[in-house]
Amino acid sequence: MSVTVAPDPFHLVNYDTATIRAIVEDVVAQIEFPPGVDVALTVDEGLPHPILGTNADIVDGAAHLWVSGGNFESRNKSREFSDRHARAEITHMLLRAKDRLSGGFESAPPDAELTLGERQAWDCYAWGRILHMGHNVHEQKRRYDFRMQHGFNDAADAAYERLWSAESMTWDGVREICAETGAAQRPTPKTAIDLLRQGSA
Amino acid sequence: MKKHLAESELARDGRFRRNKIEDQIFDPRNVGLSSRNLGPAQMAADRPAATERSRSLMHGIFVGEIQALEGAGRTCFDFEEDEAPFALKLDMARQCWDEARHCEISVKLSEHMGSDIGEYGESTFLFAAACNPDPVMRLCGVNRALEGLAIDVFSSMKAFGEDSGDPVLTFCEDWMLADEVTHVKMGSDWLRRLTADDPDRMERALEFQHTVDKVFSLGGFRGETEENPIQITRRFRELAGFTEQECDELAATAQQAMEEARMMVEMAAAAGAPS
Amino acid sequence: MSDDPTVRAAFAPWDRRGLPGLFTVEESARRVGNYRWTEIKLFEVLGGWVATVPELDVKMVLGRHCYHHAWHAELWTKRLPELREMNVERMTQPPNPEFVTFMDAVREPEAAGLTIEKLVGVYRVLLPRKIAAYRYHVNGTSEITDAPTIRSLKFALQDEIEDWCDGEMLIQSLLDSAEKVERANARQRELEELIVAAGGVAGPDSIGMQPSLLGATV
Repeated sequence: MSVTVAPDPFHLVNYDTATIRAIVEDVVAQIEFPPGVDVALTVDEGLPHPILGTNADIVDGAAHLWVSGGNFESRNKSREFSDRHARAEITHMLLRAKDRLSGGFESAPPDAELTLGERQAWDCYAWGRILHMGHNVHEQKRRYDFRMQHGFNDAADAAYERLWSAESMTWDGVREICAETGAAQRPTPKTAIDLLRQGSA
Repeated sequence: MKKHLAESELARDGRFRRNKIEDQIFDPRNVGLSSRNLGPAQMAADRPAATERSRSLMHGIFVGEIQALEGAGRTCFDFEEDEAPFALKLDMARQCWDEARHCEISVKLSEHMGSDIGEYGESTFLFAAACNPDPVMRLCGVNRALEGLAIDVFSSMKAFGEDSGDPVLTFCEDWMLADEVTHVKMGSDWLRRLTADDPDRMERALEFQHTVDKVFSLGGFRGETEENPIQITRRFRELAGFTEQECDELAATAQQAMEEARMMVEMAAAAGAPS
Repeated sequence: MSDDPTVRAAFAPWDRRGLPGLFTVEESARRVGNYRWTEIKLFEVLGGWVATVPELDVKMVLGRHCYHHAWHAELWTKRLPELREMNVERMTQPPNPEFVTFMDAVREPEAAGLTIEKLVGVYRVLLPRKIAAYRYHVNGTSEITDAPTIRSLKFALQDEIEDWCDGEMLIQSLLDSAEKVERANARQRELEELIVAAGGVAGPDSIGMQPSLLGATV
């Protein structure tokens, strides 16, 4: 299996490709990512915090991951790399890629076709697992992200708890939750969900 | 204790990190960003990374409230009776209370939104505006320009709260917005009273206000189009004593700032800067 | 007594307010002028300290308390003309030079590491003295003739007591070592000596422990 990280080198931010590659390899081992599946990670160094975003798709049998450079950026020192944030985000992307391969999300559409509600629900399921792996996940942050797309009410909070503590979930399960919270009925946003990735060089 | 505390002497606990304004202005990513389609900049729940943008902005509001509290407090202390009469200082003390309350609200809101104190960097140019040795300049820079910006920011955040269905955010922003209208009005009223016999001083003060307004319109941060994250809120500004002409001038300043930023990007791109 | 049931005693049996009080108009005005001077000096320094203390919770408490004392000064600004003192600034005076020395010492700390000294000066020395002086004034002045002063004093005392409690709790939370306790004690000792020399917020007769100008007796 190969792990590739782009760009190499970085020009606009103080990130190191080899460091990031090492983190990917480390996480691949930690989460028992399927062997033989190549991983290609693209970091969009033109995007600063707080313009964040990640994508995780399987294309021709390989995991294609895309992340805004802002996701890896130190929150209080511009253009500096945060190992802690990078490790958490890479774990998040690889978990979702693994979900697509054999984790109950084989029938999920590509990230570009997910609704915001579906994406948030899946993210919530992933972050809950990352917390249980021992990462320092800010749960209230994730709860707020979930509420933003599913509502500030008891039904949404109950759905959040189920996703957060789930040991397993499926794509159909996510769609059911979206129907339950009403996220499925929200209007289509004016901007594409993967607008940031579309603009990547 | 000495009068007039420098910006560099602001006391902070270990969680806070000072941003340098030049790091933001000269960030090499700015060139590419301006020409890139990031979707409308106006805050809305269905924009990319909506929650992180709102958290980041909320933290910026929070540190701004701390500095506004500190600035109002220094105005209570820094001037003798002949420079700043008791009634002015009473208004500044009232502003201290209001800003302390806003700090408390901001802390609670940050907990609600999932961010931590000091999670984002702090820029101290609000306090810098409050360091002016002339109390009239301080009032124009802080109470008219920066509190005027606060009206725009809180109104935009309130609209974002309503759009996203967040009742806590909507509630908090609306209450803070009410206070800011009072603060701007204090600035307008005292500007008139203290410069009633000194039109030159009033002109200098308004010029300082204009400079501060322009700084905070940099890069199109504020304006009246979808391309601006923060919307100029004419209705509340008029309640606070801004005239329609002043609002028009501010909108023009904002538009000019956006055009200048766009031109700088084009020039840099033409010069072969990385994108 | 008349058979008319609407004829009633002017003071109900449970209304024990009497005449006179301890203070003449002039004495009440003198004290109110002292209070105003003190409240102004206090709110100015509380506001000025906000930017100099690194502790976030202390900043916010100082901001809130700053307004309380400014508002008290405003209460006294309004009361003085009602006590026949049209020139408010003339009566806004410290009781004596020793009290100026005391307040200068209270207001002196500036450095970011001196939060304990700042708070002890206000909440363990000045505020207790103010509360004592205000309480004495409430109890001593005429409830009938000087009712407006009593009303303002009671409003002020509500803030003073709550602020005293806030400040004391902040101090207790900061004193987490023997060294810091000693700093607090040293600071308190230094300032107590100064205020003893001044007598108090209204001078030597702040709480009636010296002969004062008495109103007419009946």
